[in-house]
Amino acid sequence: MTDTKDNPGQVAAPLKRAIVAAVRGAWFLAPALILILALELVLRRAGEFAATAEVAESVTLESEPTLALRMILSQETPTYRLTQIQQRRPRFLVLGSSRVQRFRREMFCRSPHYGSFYNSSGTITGVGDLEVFLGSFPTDYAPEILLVGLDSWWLNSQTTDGTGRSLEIDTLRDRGLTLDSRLYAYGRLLRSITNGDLELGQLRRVLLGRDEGVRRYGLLAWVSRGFSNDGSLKVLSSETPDRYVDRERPPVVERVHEGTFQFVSTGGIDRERLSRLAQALEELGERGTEIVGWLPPYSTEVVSSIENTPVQKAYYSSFLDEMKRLFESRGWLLLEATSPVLFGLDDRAMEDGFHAMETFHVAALAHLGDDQVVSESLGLSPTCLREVLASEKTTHWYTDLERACECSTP
Amino acid sequence: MSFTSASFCALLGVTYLVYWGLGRRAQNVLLLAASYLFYSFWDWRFLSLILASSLTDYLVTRALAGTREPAARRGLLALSLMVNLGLLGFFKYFNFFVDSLETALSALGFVVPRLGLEIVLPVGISFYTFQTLGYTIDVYRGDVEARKSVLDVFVFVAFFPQLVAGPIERAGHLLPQFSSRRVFDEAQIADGARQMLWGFFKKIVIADNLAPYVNAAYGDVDGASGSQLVLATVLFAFQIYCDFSGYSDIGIGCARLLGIDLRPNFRLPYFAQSMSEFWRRWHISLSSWLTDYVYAPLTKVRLSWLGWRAKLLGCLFLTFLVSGLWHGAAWTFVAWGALHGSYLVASSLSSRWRRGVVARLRLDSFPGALAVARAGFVFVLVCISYVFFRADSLASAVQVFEKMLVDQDLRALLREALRLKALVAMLLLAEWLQRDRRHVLDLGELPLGAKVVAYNAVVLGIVVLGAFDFQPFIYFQF
Repeated sequence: MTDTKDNPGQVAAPLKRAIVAAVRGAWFLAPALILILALELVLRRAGEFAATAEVAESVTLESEPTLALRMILSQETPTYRLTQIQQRRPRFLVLGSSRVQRFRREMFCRSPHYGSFYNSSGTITGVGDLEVFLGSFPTDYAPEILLVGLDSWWLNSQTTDGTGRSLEIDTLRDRGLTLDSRLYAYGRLLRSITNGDLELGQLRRVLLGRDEGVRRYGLLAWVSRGFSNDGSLKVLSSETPDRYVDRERPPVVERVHEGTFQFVSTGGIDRERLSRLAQALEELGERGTEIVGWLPPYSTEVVSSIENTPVQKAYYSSFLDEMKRLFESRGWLLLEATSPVLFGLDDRAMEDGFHAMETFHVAALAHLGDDQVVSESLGLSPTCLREVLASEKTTHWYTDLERACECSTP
Repeated sequence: MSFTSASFCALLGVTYLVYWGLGRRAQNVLLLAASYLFYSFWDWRFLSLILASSLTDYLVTRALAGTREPAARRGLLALSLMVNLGLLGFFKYFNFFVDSLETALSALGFVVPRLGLEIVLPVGISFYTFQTLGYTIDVYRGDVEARKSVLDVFVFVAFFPQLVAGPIERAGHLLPQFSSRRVFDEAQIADGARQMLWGFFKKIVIADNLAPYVNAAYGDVDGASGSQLVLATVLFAFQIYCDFSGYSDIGIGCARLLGIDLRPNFRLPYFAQSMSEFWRRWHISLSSWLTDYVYAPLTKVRLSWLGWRAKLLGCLFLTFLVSGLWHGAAWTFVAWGALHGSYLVASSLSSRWRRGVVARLRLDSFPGALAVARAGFVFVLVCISYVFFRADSLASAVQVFEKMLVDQDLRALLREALRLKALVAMLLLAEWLQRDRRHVLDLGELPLGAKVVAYNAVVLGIVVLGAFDFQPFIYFQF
């Protein structure tokens, strides 16, 4: 034992012993600390702690190819999108839930706004979200064209509509600068490794920085998918399964059947939400934006389940009727793409019960683009899109999109 | 600044390293600066209250040391009581009493204007007020000598490891440690670090994982089933235990890193064999404070018309009412205190009868089973009281009891929240195995390799199993 003395000349010993004790404690916990250090390294190399706003500001249509999507910390998609919109002020804007995430810039090669396209999918879960999101646009900004994906549950009063949601994020937590966010990230990464969501080979690739010429922010962007420069979602795997499987958990068809999640049974259309939807779009229309509605597809399996469930059928038909009425009465375009069958496709063009793949979008636009008004509004070239579909490289899921713009070049 | 924040880790790390390089006075200056910095992270304006309490009690105790005149001494004590209880009363109880008065007058048909104020409760005020008051009372009684050093007294009141949620320390135990040289004892420091680690585990892994289930059930009593409310109440018992004892372990461990010994605050309360034993194991520093400064003086009040036993039981009941009010300015806490007071009164009145039953039925031939049954019975009583402690209002508590009685589904009760039940079972097993130790991670003579595995497992357990939407410590609100 050593006493601390009031005499400064004699106080060195306890300090030295305190430092030795701290080092000894760290040595005792070395296995855990080394593991935590390794987790920290993976997360840092993966860009998991890169600030949402900073990443959003650095990715543009012209910047090097990028994929951004976090896996461990919150993805903060609405904030990421909004920052990009504020930064880029796109003239052609796609807006909606994850069901419009595969609209790509190349699909609209002839649009005068081709060079200012942005897909802001994954942001809107309901009318409240739409209001908040549009209300957060800079006052002097409105896109020339808004392609808005309209999900049937937006007018279901039994589902959340995101009213009052804040787009502000806790920047300390977003960057992993708080103790809780850091420890949370380590724990979640460790669990992802132990339960097989992440393979050691993938982690090695992250640690070695093998990014294949694509700048990546976030672990998902390294291992499976991420938002590309035009905002659309890119999936790293190019495999196309031979048969359709609903990959959502629980499957969409089960949700419809049981009346859960987005398909909770309801008495009918929520008029108040309908009126708020109309008002939000009208306000944008009054600022010079051309509104184009998109009714995204369900797999034929899900459509059939809706048809066979009286409550769901009644609600979905009223939803479609109301959307047609709303868009027609205001002279806005409404693109009905409610099933793959409409465009000569089957469920293999779907990733799951309600997410269509890239090929579906190309086929739908080629088909709908036969209408001159549609093709001129959106800058479509149906002939080129059909060439893309006919390409050998095109599968049920992916298309040879490079051809779309080559074909369009005069 | 919470114990579970990066800023606290930084503060403790810097304080620890600088502290052991300083002499005694400089150590106290550092502790005072660190304590005020720690507190000002919540709200620096409320530092003025700590300063006011500290200064008042320093001056009062100095004056007490200078006079033997009984009237003057009583006056000085009254001054300290007025200042300290006045601050506590205003910040904690003003709205409670005003609202209760308004409700009572409205019920009698009077039209009363709204008198309540927007008052923010300063963190830890109940804890440091009792601590500093205890010092003055001890000096008044002659149990403790009044300190000349203003620095020592100010550090005693504001010492950051126990400032905002205890343990409520006694001047006779803590003050001499600030007045003397700190001893660097590596074994104590290492054990302090282990105690902190176990405290973090209890808070982050157990309490914070149990919190969402409890909050969901008590936040929607209408929607929760009776079984869910029973389970939520049992889980709350462990949530509040791990939350508060976890905080105490972190605080005590942290103080040990600085060579300061704080008294234990919990000793396996859910293994208690009787209600009185429960209170000797639960929040020990508050129980002993109330015994010495509320119960003992009350028993000295002359009430010759009342038999001695009735008087003692009445004093006991009143002390628990005070304890309830200390916990929170709400009728639910008063009911909780009254219930515990009633338990102890009933326990005292029935003790001979209970001993007789045990003897007649020869239950003491099965000591193990009897101990489990007794602990189970005490736990049930404690859980019943927790309904009042956790419910938002008396009406809500009554609703919880109604649902518990009529809406039971044993199968659902067994099936739900298996992960949470496993955490609780693990806690009980670990505490039982280590019941003779200072804390669970005091592994004594185990081989070094086994200790390394255990400590690393706890660290990784916190990382993997922890709930990281850090819930504030429950006792901060008191």
